[in-house]
Amino acid sequence: MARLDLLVTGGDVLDGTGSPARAADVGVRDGRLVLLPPQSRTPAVQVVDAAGLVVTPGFIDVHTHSDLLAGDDPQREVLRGAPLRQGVTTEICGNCGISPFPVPPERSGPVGELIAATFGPPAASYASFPEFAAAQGVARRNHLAALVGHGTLRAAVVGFAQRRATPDEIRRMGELLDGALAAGAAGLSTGLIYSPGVNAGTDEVIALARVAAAHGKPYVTHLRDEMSQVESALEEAIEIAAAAGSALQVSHHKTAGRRAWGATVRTLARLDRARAEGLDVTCDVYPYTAGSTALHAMLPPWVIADGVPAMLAAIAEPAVRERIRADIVAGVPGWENTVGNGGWDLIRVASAPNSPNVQGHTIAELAAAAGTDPVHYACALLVAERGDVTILSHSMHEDDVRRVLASPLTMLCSDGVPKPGRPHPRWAGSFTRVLGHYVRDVGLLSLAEAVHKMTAMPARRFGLRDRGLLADGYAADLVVFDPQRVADGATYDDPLAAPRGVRCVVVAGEIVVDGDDVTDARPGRVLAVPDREPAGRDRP
Amino acid sequence: MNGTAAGVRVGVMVRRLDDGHTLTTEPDLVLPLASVGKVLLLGEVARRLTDGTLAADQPIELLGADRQLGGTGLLGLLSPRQYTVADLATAVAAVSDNAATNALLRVVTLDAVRDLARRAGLLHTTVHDRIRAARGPDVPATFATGTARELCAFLADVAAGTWQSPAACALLQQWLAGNTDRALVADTIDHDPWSTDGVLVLNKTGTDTGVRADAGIVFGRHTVVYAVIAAFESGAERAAVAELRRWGTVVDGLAGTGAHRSESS
Repeated sequence: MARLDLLVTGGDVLDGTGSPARAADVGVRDGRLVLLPPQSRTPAVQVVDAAGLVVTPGFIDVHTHSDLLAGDDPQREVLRGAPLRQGVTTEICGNCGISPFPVPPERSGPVGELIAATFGPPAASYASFPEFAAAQGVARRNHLAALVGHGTLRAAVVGFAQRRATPDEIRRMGELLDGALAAGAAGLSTGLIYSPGVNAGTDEVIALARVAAAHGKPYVTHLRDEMSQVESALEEAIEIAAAAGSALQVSHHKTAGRRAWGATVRTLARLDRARAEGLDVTCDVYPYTAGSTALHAMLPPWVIADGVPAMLAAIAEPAVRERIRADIVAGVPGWENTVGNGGWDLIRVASAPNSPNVQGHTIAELAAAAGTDPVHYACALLVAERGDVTILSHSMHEDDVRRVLASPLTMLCSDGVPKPGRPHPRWAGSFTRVLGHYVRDVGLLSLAEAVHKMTAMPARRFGLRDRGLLADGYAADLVVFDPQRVADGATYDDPLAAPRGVRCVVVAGEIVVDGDDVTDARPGRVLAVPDREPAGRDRP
Repeated sequence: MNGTAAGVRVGVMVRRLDDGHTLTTEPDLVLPLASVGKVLLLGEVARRLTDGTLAADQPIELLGADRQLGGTGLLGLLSPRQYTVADLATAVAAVSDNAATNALLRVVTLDAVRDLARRAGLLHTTVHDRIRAARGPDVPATFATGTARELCAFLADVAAGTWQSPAACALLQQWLAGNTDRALVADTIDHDPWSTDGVLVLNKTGTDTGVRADAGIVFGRHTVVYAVIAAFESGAERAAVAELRRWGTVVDGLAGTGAHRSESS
C-alpha cells in the first residue's frame, strides 16, 4: 500500500454510526480517510499512537454564533481555539436568525448595527455567501458552514418595523435567501424572540422555509418561546415545516423558567409524533442549565423594534424604563419574558466590554450595589455598552437537560457566543462535558451514542455529505481522545479553560491540536453545502 | 418567486374556525381552479332548491354533447338520457361529473353562478364557461379561476351555516361529503371517507392539465376550512400532488383529528 500521510494506529474506532467501538487503524491520504485493520503497520509520514484511546470523526457543532471570528488579534485566537481543543472540526453558524450575509450594500448601515450588537463590534456584513466565505475562510483551523438568518433578511428588506412583511417584501427576502442557499449556505435559521425576526408572522416564515425546502435544506429555529409558551411555539415550528415541506431543526431545545420545567416530557413526545406523521424533525441541545443571550432580549420586544440606536435613545428615558418595568411584571402577549419568568437574580453579565468589573455578577447584585433597581441598572448598562451586553440566564432544570440530551432525536451543540469577557462555558466545554460528565460519570448515554450525536447525525441533518463518519473516502476530520480522562475544563468562572483528555484533532488530514498545543496548520475552510433533493414528503 | 419544487406555484389557505388560526402561502394568487369551480355551481343549485325556485325531482335531459365531453364523470357512460336535478348535483359532487355540470349550467345559467359568487363577496373566484373538451381562442381560457382566500371565506360561511340559508348550507355540505376523490389534500387527513362517524371531510377537488386543487371543510376536534391550489408545468404533477398532500398534514394538525368531532359539527 502506498505511503499514507497520517496513520492513527492502535485505537478503538467509533465510526459515528452509533455502532460499538472496534479496533481499527485509520489512515489519511490526500485529505481522505482509509480504514485499515488494527495494527496495520502501514507506512505513513506521520503516526499517532492511539493505544488505549478512541478515534472518532471530527465533531460537528450544529449551533454556534462564531460567524465573525476571523482576524489576527490574540483574543480571537483564544476564542477560536476553544472548540478546536474539544475536537470540533466543523462549526455551523448563522443561527437564531442572525447571519452577516446576505446584506445588500445599501442596507449595510442599519443591518450592521444588528450584526454588531449580536457578534460584537466591528460590524461586518457581506452581500453574498461567497463574499462571507472568502472573508471568514482565511487562515481557519477548522471548517465553518453557515445558515442564512431570517432576521438578517428581514432587517435588509423590511427594517426593524413592528409589522407584517408585504408580499413583495417576502418575495425579496426569498430572493436573497435563494441566492445564498444556491451559493452554499446550509439552511435557514430564525430567532423568533429577537428583533427583527419577532415581527414576522407564521406565513412569512412558511414562505421562506419553502425556499429552503426547494434546496433540500433545513429550517432551523430558535422557537418563538422557550419558556411557559414553549409548546405552542413548537407547534408553530411544526406547522411551518409541514406546510413548507422542509426538514425542521429545533435549536437548543429547552423548556426554561420554573413554569416550564418538566415540559420536555411533552415536547419530546410531540417531536416523536411529528416524526411518526412524516416530518423530518430533530433538535439539538447544549449540556448546561444556564442559557446565554443578549441583555436586550430580556426587555419587551417593542424596546428594540426600531433597531439598536433607537433602543439606546429610548431606554435613557425614565418613562420608557417605567414602561419596561411594568411590562416585565405584567407580561406582553407573545413575548417570552425571561425575567418575569425567573427574576433578575438569575441574569448574570457574561460580557460587557467597556465594564469588565460587572462581568460575572447578576443584574440583581449589581443593581443592589449601585443602590438602584434592576431595570434602571440594565438600561444604563446597555447604554454604556452601546447595546453589546451578553448575559447568562440560570433558567433550566437539570432533568429537562438530561431528558433532551438522551433523546434519539437530539444532536449536540454549544450555542457558543464567542465574545470576550466571561462567556458561557458552553463554547469551550459542551462536547467534552458530554463525553466526560454525561457519558462516563453519569452514564446518561453510551459513548457510541454520544459520538453519533456529535458526528454522523449532524452531518446528515446539514448536508455535510462526506463528513461525520469514519469510512473510506470521507473527509479526514478526526478526534483522538482518552475516554477515561476526557472532561471539560470550562466553568462559569473560567469559561475558556481547556478540556482534558483530547490527544489530537485532525482537520482535512492535518493535525491542528496535538496534546495541549494548537498547531500552526490552517486546513479549515468555509464549506459550501450543495443542494439536496427536496424532502418531497409524499405521504406519511 | 414561489420557493417551491421547480415548476409548481401554489395558493393556499388553511383556517381553523374555532380560533381563527390561519396558515397561508400566496392566498391571493389567482389560479385556475379546474373542477373546484363546480362548488359555485353546486351552491347555485342548492340555493335554488332551498328557496323553492327549482325542484329536486325536475327531470333534465343530457344532450349528446354532454355525454361526449369525456373527462371526469360517470353519467355520460351510463344508459339513461334523463336525470333529476338532485341526481345531477349528486354526480357533480361525487365524481365531478362533466356531463352533469353542463346540464345543470343550462338549467341555472352561467350568469346566475357568477352572480352567486359576486353576492358571496368573491371578487376573483368565479366560473367563466361551461366544460369543454377543447378550448379554442374564441372561448374563455379556463373553466374557473380563483384564490385560496376567497374559497376559504366561502367555505367558512358554508361550514357555519351563514351563507345564503342554513338549509342551503346543509344541502351543499351533504353533497360535498359525498365526494369520492380523497386523493389530494384529503389523502393525509386522518378520516374514513366511507363512515359518517368520526372526522368528516367535505371537499371538492379539481384535476386538469397543469392544475391540481382541493378545497373543503373538515369537522374534527376543530372545524377547519382549506383551499390548496397548485398550478404546475409539464412534468411536475407528482411534485404538485405531493404539495397538496403535505398541506393535508397541516389541515390534519389544525383539525385535531383522532376520531373526535367538535360539538359545532
